[in-house]
Amino acid sequence: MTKLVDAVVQSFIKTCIRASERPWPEVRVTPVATRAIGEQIYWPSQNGLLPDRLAYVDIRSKNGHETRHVTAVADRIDPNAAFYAEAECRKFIDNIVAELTLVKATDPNYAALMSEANAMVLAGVVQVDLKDRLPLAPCAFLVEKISTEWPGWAVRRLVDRLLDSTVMAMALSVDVDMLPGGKAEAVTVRLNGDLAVLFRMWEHRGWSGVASTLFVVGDENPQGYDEVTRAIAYHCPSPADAISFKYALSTMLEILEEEE
Amino acid sequence: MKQMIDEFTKVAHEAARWVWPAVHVPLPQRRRIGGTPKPSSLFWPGREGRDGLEYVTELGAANYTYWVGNAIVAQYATPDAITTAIDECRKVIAATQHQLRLARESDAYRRLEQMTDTLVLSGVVSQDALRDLGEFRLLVVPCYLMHRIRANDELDGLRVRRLVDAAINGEIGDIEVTVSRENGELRRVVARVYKEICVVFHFWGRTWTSYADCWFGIRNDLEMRAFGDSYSDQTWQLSHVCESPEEVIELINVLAEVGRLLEIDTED
Repeated sequence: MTKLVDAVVQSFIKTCIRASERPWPEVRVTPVATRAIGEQIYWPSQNGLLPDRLAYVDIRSKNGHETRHVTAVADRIDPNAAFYAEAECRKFIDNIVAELTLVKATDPNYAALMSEANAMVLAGVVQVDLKDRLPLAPCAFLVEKISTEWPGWAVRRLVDRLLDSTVMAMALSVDVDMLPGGKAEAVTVRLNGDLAVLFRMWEHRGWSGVASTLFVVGDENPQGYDEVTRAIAYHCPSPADAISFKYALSTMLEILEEEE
Repeated sequence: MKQMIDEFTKVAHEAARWVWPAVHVPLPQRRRIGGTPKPSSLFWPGREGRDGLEYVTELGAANYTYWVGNAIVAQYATPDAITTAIDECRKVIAATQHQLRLARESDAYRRLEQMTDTLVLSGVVSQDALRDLGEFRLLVVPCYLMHRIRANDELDGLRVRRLVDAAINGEIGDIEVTVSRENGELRRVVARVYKEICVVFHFWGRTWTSYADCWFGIRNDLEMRAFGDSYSDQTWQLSHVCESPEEVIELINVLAEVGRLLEIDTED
């Protein structure tokens, strides 16, 4: 009997963690009402956004309340409540799958990205399982290609073109840091808010030096297809955003690759 | 006891006061000045830094910070601890005055005095307005330059472009420039001219050939705050960015250069 109870709770935990995974593209999600699933334990947590908060619970007590991951309170979950909560999770997942199917079937941007990604899989370029984020593989490929060393003059040309550019159909900012001696220190091209390509002139030679290039998101430097696609998925929630981002990257790459 | 608390409030306020040029003097160590029945203890100074001298902190199950004039201090602080705190505040005030006297003898301070006098003589700033600013009055010079730059409601976008090019070409020191576009259209240019001080140009016509309006802001990690409207706001903010007269002179030079590139007459 105990084993059966454990299995019910474990199954609920597994399902709600699965439901909390953010789908890409982002789709409309149905709200899930918070209910008690144990003594002073309420699921899903009221902190954060859906679907992330489906993996968390609120523990309410006289001293206030705290939010914990659902695995941290596994032994305090009522199996009966877990059974009904799991059914709610499954309904939630089914809704997401239905919405995703609709987007995949009707969105031409998604189809364009997907066919490119499939070609990359066939060519053996993508070897990790990106799940829903597979269509973002072409963007990650360009990120990888741009993250290398570029001559300072090429970066300078990119800055000049971007200052005059009218081709980028997205929010973009070019940030140039200068050193006191009048040498360029770093150039940050920010796309879609937090996604940025940072060119850093390490040798203090300004535009005549070499710039090492990093893809940065906030203060982090995601690397590899998995991390990069995760970051892009978060900041480009729709296929149209991803297409714009990919176009911006390929334009930048074209300018950087031009002969002197 | 009341007299003692009044004196403590007075000297702590004077010792905690922000001064310009900013001088750094050794501050008293935080220590227990009494117990409260919760049980918890009162500690003074209540915060890090000079302004903490005006506060006490109650440390116990939870922490609370109170102004030194709060009744809790009179009720629970020991007379000995208050007497010592008053002495220490007096020492901080004396050390600050000594350092201020030295700072006011610097060449940069004298140059700023001359520049301020020139502004008064040319009728740009009134003597009364300066009097209200107290020791921050010398900071009125960079504030005036910023006022001249931003007074141009419709600035030719090509002049801003010239400023951007000059910055990228390394012609004006360690300026940092950010150009933002949206949907292929130019939105704004932010040039960080000195430490956190930025000049922002907003392009209403969305191209370099359109007009731009201009304002100054102070940027921190999270946001850009507009520079105040009045001289008293502005000089107060500047006193925290440029703590020494030398830094103010540096800022004046950068602003003059920015004005030159924007073809704005900043000389009077």
